[in-house]
Amino acid sequence: MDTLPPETLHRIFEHLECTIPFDNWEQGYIAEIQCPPPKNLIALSRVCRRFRDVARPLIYRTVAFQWREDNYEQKIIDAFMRTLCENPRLGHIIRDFHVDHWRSWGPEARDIVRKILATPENLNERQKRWLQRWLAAERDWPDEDILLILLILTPNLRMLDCGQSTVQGGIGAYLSGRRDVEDHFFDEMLLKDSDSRRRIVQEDPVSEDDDDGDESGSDLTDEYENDETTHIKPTQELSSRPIVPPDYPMAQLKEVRFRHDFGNGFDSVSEIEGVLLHPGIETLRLFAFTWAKEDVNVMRWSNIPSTLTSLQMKASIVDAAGLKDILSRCRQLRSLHIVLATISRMDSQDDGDDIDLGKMGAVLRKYGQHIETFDFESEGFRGYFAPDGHLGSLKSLTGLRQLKVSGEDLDDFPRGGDDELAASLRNALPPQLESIHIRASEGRDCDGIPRALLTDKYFSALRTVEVESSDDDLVVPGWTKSERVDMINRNETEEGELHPITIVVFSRDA
Amino acid sequence: MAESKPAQKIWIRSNDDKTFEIDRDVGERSVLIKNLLEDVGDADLSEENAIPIQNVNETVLRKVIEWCEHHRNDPPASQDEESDARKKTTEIEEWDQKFMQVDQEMLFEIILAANYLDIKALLDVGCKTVANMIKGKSPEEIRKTFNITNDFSPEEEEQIRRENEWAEDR
Repeated sequence: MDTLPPETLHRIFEHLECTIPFDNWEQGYIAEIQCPPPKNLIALSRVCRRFRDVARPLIYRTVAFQWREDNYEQKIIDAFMRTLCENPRLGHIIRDFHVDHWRSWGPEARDIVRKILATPENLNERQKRWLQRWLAAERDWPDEDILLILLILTPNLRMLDCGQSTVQGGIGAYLSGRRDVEDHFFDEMLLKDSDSRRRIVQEDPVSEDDDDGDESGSDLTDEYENDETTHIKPTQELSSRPIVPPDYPMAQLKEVRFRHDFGNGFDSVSEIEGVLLHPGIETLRLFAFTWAKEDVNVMRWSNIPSTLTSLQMKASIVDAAGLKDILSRCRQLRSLHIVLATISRMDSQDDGDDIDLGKMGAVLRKYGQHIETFDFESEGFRGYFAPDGHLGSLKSLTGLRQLKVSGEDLDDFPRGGDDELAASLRNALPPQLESIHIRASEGRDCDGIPRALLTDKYFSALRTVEVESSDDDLVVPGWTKSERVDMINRNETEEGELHPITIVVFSRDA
Repeated sequence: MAESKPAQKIWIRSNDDKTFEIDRDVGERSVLIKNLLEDVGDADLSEENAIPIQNVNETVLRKVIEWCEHHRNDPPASQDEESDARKKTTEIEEWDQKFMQVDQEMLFEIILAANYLDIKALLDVGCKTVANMIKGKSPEEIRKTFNITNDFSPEEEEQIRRENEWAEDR
């Protein structure tokens, strides 16, 4: 092996690197996603100096801590923290970081932070500032602080994937990269008691006159459709242009995933609002979060545009006000994927009461022109709730190229003749659509839809039509039919059990 | 039925002066050879004017050609290094596994040749083969397998052990 240069050794060792899975990310520890510890790389690092130099960056490039029932994981995280404290340069290597769960630290956290600060030459100004302010704060140390200190020690992170029971403002503020947001966090969240934030929100006049706060029973669909002014009003004296501190240490951050890892309940997107302010963030994946009227009302920086291009919200609650906030602040958003939660996650029946697809459709038409991929799933939700209305026509979404939706969510398509259905589809879908996936729903069959789509020249841009149920004998000249099996967890079972579902795929012949 | 056109031939020469006549599409599995062919032009292609493969001897080049012939119809390799890195596995298809059943010296020569000739898929197969030889072994077993001398001081060994304690015994 002496003949192999370091770059070739690197290629070999890379095959032994831990990688964080991308599929079924939302299932976290429930699905026991395999992400083995880097034992092979560690063995290599102990063979000789030459191997150590190549293996070491790979050991630390991707770090994953998976939850274990015996809580042994905590000892591992403690050992990891000790390593980063003793050699902060290793933290700079970490690109992808996954952690499922952690326990609260006791007073020893202060000792560790002091120890990190004892070697200031390894820290930049921002890291020092956070740690010093942390020490100065007189507060109980919540669970999230371990993650926050880990983040401070991993300034070149590209992807953060974490599951936790409660997400709180500190992580969002840190990931925002904005000095003003950090200052706000320290001033309002850390140094004062937690009631202060609630008081500020209650006193905020913007919350009171916000049009989404209207509960008079007026027709909000029309309101969303016809409202010529945006509801977004500055709630803080902040510049709308991102302020990237000169010592900004999270410049590489592109993707963040947060999972609410309890079997029920949600976290509010307002707790991680700071993430939306990060000037380079592209992808945000949330599991069991709410982005609804109540969340929008307490968010503070809706006036600052987000650089997000892709947003996934699974097992979540998004209503029309939330969707409006998403589309208004994320104007570079190209891909939006929403899976509504099932009742098993909800604390009360009220959680799902405000979902009105008619209003959401109106918001989409008004604010969603930049969306290229829209994936909306309500099947698990529909098992217990009947959301009002349908999304309605998406024809005016001129950017839309890929669509995944159930016929039932989209519109009340006629069950009569083919001509009538074809006319309804032409009215519902934009002609530039390139691919469509029709989800099965218990409420109605969609067997007539693929035939109408495949045979109508209006949809000449369509290249792929996928359906979860279809006439078995449907054959259309110019289209090739095939099948594939997807594994899905549509009903969000606690075991994370995946069920096979057959997808019939029609591909336009070249 | 239209007759299939005979494959265009090219000639490559190992560093110990053995010339090989191969089909052009086989040679073009190598990005290096593909680029050289574009530079040379068809008119200058001849046995006398064989493309020199300076870093590869006859035995290794023969083996590389055998691999390229078997994989001549494979789709071109992805250029997206980052995406590839996220899909890394150590699975190797059966034919390639048998192909790589060679002694260690030859295995490393094939890897070096694939690297020099820029044949990403062959380089990957070679690297995966070595990775599979490493998998599950202790540092001492790896040393034995590859005949490597331990050059760590006891202090360095202790430092590495402590540094990576978080990833041990999991």
